[in-house]
Amino acid sequence: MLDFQNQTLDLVDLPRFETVEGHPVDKAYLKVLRILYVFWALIVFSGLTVLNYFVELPALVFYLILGVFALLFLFIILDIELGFPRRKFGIRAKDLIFQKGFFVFKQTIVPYKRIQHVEIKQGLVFKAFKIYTLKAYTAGSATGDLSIAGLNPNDADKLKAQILKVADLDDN
Amino acid sequence: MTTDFSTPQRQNFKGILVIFLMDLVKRIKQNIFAFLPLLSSNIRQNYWEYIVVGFILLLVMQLLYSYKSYLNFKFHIQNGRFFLRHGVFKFTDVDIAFDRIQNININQNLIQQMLNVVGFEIETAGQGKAEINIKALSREDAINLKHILLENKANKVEENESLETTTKSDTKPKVLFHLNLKRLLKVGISSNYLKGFGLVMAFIGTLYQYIEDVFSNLFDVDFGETYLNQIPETLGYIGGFVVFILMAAFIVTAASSVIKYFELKVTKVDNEFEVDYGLFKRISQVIKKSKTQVFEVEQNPIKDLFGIKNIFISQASSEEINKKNKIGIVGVSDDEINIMFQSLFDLPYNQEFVIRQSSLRLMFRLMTRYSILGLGIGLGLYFWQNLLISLIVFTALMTVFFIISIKTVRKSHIGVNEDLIKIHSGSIHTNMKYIATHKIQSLALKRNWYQQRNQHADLLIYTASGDERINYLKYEDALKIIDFLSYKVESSQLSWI
Repeated sequence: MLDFQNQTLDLVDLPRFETVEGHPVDKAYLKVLRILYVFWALIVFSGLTVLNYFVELPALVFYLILGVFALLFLFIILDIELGFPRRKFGIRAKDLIFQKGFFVFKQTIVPYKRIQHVEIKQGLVFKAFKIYTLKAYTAGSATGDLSIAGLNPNDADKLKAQILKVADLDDN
Repeated sequence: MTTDFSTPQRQNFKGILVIFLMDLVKRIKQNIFAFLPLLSSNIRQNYWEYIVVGFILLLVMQLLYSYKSYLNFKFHIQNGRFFLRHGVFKFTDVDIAFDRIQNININQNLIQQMLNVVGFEIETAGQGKAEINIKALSREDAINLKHILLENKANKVEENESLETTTKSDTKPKVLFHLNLKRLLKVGISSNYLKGFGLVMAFIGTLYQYIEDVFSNLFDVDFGETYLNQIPETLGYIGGFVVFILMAAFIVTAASSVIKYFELKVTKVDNEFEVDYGLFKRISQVIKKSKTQVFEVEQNPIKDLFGIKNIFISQASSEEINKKNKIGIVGVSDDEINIMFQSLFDLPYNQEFVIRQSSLRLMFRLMTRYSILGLGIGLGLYFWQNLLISLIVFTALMTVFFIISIKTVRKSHIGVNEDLIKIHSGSIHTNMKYIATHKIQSLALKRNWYQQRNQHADLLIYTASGDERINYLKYEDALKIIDFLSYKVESSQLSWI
């Protein structure tokens, strides 16, 4: 128990963010991630093969580079597959929570009243699967902003409406 | 005679020279490495005609460019807005409403001092760098213009809260702190030498070949062959060289601090602080209470000996804050810190905090990073010299890194209370950052694979002037802190700016 001194409220009564039940993002996003993964893997590995064909690299160096990339891609696919069930967003009365990552698990809390503006984006591949990315910008640095990728249209709209509604209320 | 700003104005006529010289200095700074070949006497002898002609051509082109840029630079005031059109090959139009102006800085660098003109900068909200930078105005014009811009702003504010502004503007500027030469020297002596050391090393690195030349000519030593046979002499040279580097680092660091913070003065105007400093380039910056995000106090063993500390204040900015755009008030005493702190936070400096320490496991992370660095240097030395030297240097380095790591872990903690967060960090030096809880933008917990297993977490606090990170807190504690802080932000009615 953290003993905050001259505390007027009981810490036990504080809302606990770790107990918030998160909503998973759309399953289609996993497909998008896999497609992008395969796309990049093909580009990188075919690029390496072509490079090896034209530039006579020593075998040792080539396999070393290949090994490094293979390891990197192994980690990426593990992060995608194992980390996907952990991609969840939570909506509370006063803030928005998003968590993701397998190797590095990051949970971000952004209070509605610190959100400067909201953006809903859709890339090319996202379009084919009808999913969106919601970005909530704060005045802090970009790494502290919220970026929830893989929302279905319904969730994206609801989330945006919720943010705007609370932001409006707070202004008055 | 006053200048009429409602018609488009050029800068002061001397501006051509100011622009030319400032651009020239900038070009030389950017292309300093282009001059390196000139160190070789061979190149100097064989190509000097080309070099001279090339220089003259470049100078003439620069002069034409600066002249054109002077001609095209026009500004005027109309309907409560400031208009500026500038550019050489393409024009840029800037248009700023008076009430959007946050700060006006009047600076004078060495060139401007010689020509008796001043630089005029207009800052608007959010942007870290000045958006409008007029390089040459006569002091009269600059002060007039400042009055016009600020008067209009004041009028607009007055419409809303007339009573407050009238009482406010009555308060006279009061000098709060003036850094005298003695204390300035103390600041210089107690600066962080690593920066100066890096500068000297970089300089020597680029001139290594040249220095080797000089040395071998002067002392008749051949670095390659003789050094194994003449170990005592070589050690002597190396020792001398090391002393020389350390001395140079010391002088460079001390001198750069002295030049930067010369005649540092903090004046209190209304609810704001105006900070002026600099020997060659006088810089004047304004600290606003509402824009202040992070209040940083820095001390190190030498500073403690002198009884001085440094304060750095970060203000809200859309750009990432780096060391440069923090406002530094150096060489202050505890009493002066108290005054600054009190007026920026409305709280006494001495605060009780509930403190949570970083776990000792942080040692592993730090040592892993340092080991990679140490191994790299060791391997490099092994291939360049021999096993013995590389081993000696490696062990010495790792010992130093170990001590630094222990100190880093010991000093890494976070304190929280009702109004403030205190982030304590540092290794040899000590750094304390104070942030008001309502200035937090967002919060995050980060746990890597190990931390997920051993129940630890890194806490990240994002503010409008950069990110703060406290490594390796116990997961339980981190959760409590993050819950508490998010509650504080969300229940507070105070704005972050």
